[in-house]
Amino acid sequence: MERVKRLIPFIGLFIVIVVFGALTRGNLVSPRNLKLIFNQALFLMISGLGVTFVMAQGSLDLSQGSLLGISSAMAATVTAYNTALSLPAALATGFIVGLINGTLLVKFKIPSFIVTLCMLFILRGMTVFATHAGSIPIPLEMYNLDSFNMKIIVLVALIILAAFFFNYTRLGKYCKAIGSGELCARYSGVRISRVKILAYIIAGTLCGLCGFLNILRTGAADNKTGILFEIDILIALVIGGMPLTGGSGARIQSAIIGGLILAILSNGMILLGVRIEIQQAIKGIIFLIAVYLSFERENVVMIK
Amino acid sequence: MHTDKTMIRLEGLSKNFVTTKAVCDASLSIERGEIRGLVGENGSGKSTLVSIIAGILKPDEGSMVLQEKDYKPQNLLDANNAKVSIIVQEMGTIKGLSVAANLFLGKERNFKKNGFLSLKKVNTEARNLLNKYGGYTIEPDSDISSLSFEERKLVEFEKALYSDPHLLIVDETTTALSQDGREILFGEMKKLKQQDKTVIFISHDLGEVIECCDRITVMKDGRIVDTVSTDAIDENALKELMVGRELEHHYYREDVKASYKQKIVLRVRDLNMEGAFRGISFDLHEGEILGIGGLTNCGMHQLGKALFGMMKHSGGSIELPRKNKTLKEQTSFISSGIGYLPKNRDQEGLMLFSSIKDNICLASIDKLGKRFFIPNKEERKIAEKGAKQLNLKMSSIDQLCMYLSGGNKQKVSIAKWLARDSDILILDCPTRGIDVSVKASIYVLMQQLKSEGKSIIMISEELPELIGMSDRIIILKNGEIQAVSDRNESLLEEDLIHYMI
Repeated sequence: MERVKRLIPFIGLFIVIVVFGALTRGNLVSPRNLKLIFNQALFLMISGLGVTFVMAQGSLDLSQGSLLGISSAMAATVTAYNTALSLPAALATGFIVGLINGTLLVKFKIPSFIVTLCMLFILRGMTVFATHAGSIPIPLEMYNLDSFNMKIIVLVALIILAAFFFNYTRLGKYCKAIGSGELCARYSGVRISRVKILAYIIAGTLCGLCGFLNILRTGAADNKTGILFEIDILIALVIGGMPLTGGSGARIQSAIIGGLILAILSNGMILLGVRIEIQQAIKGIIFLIAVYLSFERENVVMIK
Repeated sequence: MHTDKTMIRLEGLSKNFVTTKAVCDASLSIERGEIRGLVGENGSGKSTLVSIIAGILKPDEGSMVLQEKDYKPQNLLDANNAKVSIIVQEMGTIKGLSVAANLFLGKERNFKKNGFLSLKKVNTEARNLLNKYGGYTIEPDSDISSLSFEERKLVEFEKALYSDPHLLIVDETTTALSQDGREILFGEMKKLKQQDKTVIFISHDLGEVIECCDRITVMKDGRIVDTVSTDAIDENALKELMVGRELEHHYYREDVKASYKQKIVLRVRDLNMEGAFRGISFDLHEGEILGIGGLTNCGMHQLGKALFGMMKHSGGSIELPRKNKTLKEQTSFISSGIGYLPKNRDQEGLMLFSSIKDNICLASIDKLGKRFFIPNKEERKIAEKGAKQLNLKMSSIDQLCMYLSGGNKQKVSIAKWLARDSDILILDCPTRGIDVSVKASIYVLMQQLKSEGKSIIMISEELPELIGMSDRIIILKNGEIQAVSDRNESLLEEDLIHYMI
């Protein structure tokens, strides 16, 4: 049963490819469209890799959508002075927001979804402010940086790094241990606060990177950049097999498989001309099914 | 007027928890106008039995008859409506509510005014009630959590009496009360008796029980051993009934003399923790099994956590003389070679939804691998070794811990610290809720560790295992050391019990 469960995401990926491939009469897998899918999946995958460390602990990061917005805005703003500052500005923004998220969670013991939800609103406000409720264009010469090859290399490198840290280092093992049993982890010498903050920093920084890649692709930072992105990451990870409770069931592959499934799904629906409202409803239903399938009901211990 | 003198009759009540039989085939009949004592060792099933009567727990088998009617309470409220009230051992008040709100919980209807709850009425009534039982200094509208433990107990007591119970259960309440509080409590109990009502009274203070009860029922290992009249029994005879005469010798240590090296591995001086313990000083030697015993709330469990750095002590010191080190930071306890087996195994000791491998390796991760990299192979090796050493019954080390039996879970929880090669092990109730065969293997393991020169602090609520396994036994009462007893052949439970109670 455990084995079958682990295969579900792969089966899901297979199904969306076959179904949409057939419905669009092969348009889905045309080279031009594959590139589109890749670009859509890229952000989900990179951010998803970071959020995996957070969700492995059984926490959430809902600030990602606005973080994408504000880090894009920061990356675009500094290009007015020096284009070389753009990437560092985006990464630093992500790093700082991650640090704040983690610190608030640890110091004030506010549940993670509340902390990051508040952050989502705060950062959205800041994004609108930073973009003067419009958008900030970047210099033309930066457009050339947006290359498919560069993005592939970055993605592969990040996947290898994340997989290494998640599976073969203290950090990854402690993240999963916290998700499996925070109290037990504490009693076994895990420095809970440190690990929690570190996970949010990773998630924040990777989202910052997405902010930078985003302005390269779109040529500007917009005040609406990243709206609902946090939910897409969450859906992608859960479809990819990430348990909401975190713990030892968390796998790094969830970010990749889930990101691909969701990108193909969105893209396929657009190709088929499904209306945007209906697209969202379908995503909601799929999310619900994914949670239903992944939620281990026996995990809910009844203590009398 | 009453054709039948019986207040409540229990017939064949049984209650199992996952691994233990808490109450087994208990039949009992208690009369009107009777104060009935209920005594027994920790874990003998007293609290479980009264919880069933009070509707907090449902029995697996058996039935109850209350005032000649079938009595099957579904919850506490049901029981309250049938005029049964309980004052519980652990906290029965709700934090965040005011004193008055706690007092009249579930009875807010009585204070309606134009469809709204009249706070004024509530508070006035609460004031009257508080005054009636001597709680003059308690304000009805203050937050219950601002009250002292004793005051909260008083509130609970008043709450129980307010519903005019025909059967009142008082579970281990007096330990929290001062002499004045006790007088009030006993006075009220006597009043209920005069009104032809019934009280069930649980206490560890046997003198107190004999003094204020009419008859006493003794429980042991979930069974009712005997019911005796207080005219015909003294404290010692009661103790003997509680402990039972048959003592199992076979699986404890065979040697009869204390044996340990002179080297001191852990030095504790004048350790304090507010509300838990005071002035604790002792030395732990190499190769020593040091037992710490007492009643559940004597402070020994907190002491165990303080010795592992999980709870902060408020004064005194914990030192490692060999390393010339004073321990403060929590992580330094582990890195200095102290391991801790928690009493609350399923939350503090194990990650139930993780594999045996992950659990065994958890405390050792920082010792594994080089720099960042922790190879899977190394983890598996350690886990396999630990599983073998403790003879775990499992399909593989990838099996989830939640599917293991209680005894095997306990073994995993111990294996975690053996994998780290801890020199000092603090075991809090190592054999709690596990069957005899695993118990025996844990005792064997302890002796083996002792012979390897490791030191063990065993905190236990069971005197036989303390006597059977320890080189020295420290008995705690109300957070203070009452007695230190060396291992010797003639040491009996009766010798230690009176230090505890």
